[in-house]
Amino acid sequence: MAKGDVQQSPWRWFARDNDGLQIWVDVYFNNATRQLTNTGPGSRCAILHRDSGCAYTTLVFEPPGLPTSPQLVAPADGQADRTFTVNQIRNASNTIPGFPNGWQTIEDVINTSNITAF
Amino acid sequence: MALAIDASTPAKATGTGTAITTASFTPPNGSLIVLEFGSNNNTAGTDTSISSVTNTGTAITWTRRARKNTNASSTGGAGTAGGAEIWTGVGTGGAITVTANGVGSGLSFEKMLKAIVFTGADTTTFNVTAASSGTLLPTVALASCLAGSYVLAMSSDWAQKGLGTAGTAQTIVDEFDVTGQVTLHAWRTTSVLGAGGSQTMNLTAVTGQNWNLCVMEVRDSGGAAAPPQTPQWHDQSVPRSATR
Repeated sequence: MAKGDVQQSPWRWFARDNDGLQIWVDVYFNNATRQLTNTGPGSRCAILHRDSGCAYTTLVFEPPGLPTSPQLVAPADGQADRTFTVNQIRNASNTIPGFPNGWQTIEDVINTSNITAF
Repeated sequence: MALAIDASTPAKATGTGTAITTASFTPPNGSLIVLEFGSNNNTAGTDTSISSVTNTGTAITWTRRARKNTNASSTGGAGTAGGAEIWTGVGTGGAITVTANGVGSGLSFEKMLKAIVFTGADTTTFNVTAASSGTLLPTVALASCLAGSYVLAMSSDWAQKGLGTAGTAQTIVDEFDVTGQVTLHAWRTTSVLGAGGSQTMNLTAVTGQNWNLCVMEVRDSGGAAAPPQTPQWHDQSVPRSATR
């Protein structure tokens, strides 16, 4: 990796807790058009994983606490990864100002003003 | 109370906004809240310094302890592109979110804010250092550390070489790697120091970084940890009468 490289599919965001346990999401997209696509495992757009015992259970996009901030709830201990289609991601993100139809491209997701977990 | 990392520690917050905000967390009253902050910039000369830190709930006084970026007031002098900072505050026992207000928004202004909550910490004495270079790997030695302390590190890599590997007896706390832009690393000593003296904080991969590094010691509120007790063996002569 280096300065100037272009993000290739999938894009991953993760957070570690005090014990190193992780919550992460992989988002799949078309490398050429940058459009979100259902090309991930199980023909899904996003895969949300949480290590059993991880202190964090929910991803939140945009500044947390706002009624318009999309949240993705991770699986509970022992449960399989949660998956989301493109339409589910768009429906979850269409509350963000400036995105009436939800996120369309991976840059829409990556350039979110704020991502965290709780 | 011995120095410990508290379970209230929130997840890192990342983003491209001017402001970066943590999720809500509830640091215990009197706990030390350490904020580790890293930032990208669009051109090498842009100052990435945090302009202010605020929180919801009862207002906390936030103090910058170390900074390394192109600002001439950086700890030990100006650093290189990107930026790393460490700030502290003291918890009041109520739920808060913390916002660091940085510089720039959008592509090339990616930022990371990682708060770590400590109980049993010295909240008044801070031992810090900083370093930077356009080559190799982040590394710096912090002198005069006390036994029983944690040592924290925060670095930015404007060359975006990817996720790092922590040095000996060190553990990655969290990272933010933005392809084509920047990699931000937060790490710490795996355990409290067993002995006082100099502590080197470093990454062993990936080399070729363009880095800024800030390091800070978090001390136990009771000062240096006591050295281990040496067992004292005493001669126990058995009286003649007991051997029959």
